Amino acid sequence: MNEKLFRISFDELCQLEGIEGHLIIEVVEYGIVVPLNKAKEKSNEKQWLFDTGNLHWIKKALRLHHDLEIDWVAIAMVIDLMQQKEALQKENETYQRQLERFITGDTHYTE
Amino acid sequence: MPADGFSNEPPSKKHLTVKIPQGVIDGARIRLKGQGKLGHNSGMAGDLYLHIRVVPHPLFDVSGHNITITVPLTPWEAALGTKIIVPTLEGKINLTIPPNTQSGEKSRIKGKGLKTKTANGDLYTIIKVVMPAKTSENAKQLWQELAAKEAFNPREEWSVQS
Repeated sequence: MNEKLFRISFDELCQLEGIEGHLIIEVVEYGIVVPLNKAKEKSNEKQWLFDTGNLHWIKKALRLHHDLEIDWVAIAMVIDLMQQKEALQKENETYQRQLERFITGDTHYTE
Repeated sequence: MPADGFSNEPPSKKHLTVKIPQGVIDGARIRLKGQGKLGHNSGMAGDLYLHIRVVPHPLFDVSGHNITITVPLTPWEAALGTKIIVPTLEGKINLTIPPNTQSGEKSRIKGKGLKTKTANGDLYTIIKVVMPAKTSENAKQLWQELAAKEAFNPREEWSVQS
């Protein structure tokens, strides 16, 4: 069951999301996303499986490619920075909440 | 015109009951196969994605599979040590607070965090020493007695004299 919930195959990306296969290969080649089974299926891209959490990054990369016409190296860098920013933002939110519990009155969090 | 440009069908409303699998973390995206709109050329139904956001818990902060609880202590509990009961996700546990516990001290209780199929996260406790909102006359006298007898100065390293 979890396979279906958290994974999407190469073919499904093409058929359901309308992404061209060669673009998926580019995205993987530049390390923007890494298939879950890349080590095992290195050159057998048809067998690649992706984490569904990466789908929006693939789409973002393709939008950057299409809309801004920037090269793949730059896209990889932009995506990497965006991911770092997202992680930091999340970390920051956690710290803010912890700090709030710690320095202001209540250890109970209320919105 | 739908944003994806795949289908001209108007958006439809439906209710789905979804079982959220154990171990899902904040920010995860769950794929519901075939619950999206019809595809443009294959005729296959697309997928629906759920973007999971974990609502802040009143007591616990989540970070990955670990959770943190802030433990408020009175100054005398922190000074003398005590035994307290700490809530966890699965019932309560006893926690021994050693004498001379500092505010901000962190300790780990193994395996009491979020559970996944493969691993268990840990529960972290952070001590927070809390002053009572009001000081009674009696307490004031006791603090004064302590102040007179104790030589501890937490600002020793400051260059100014307090």
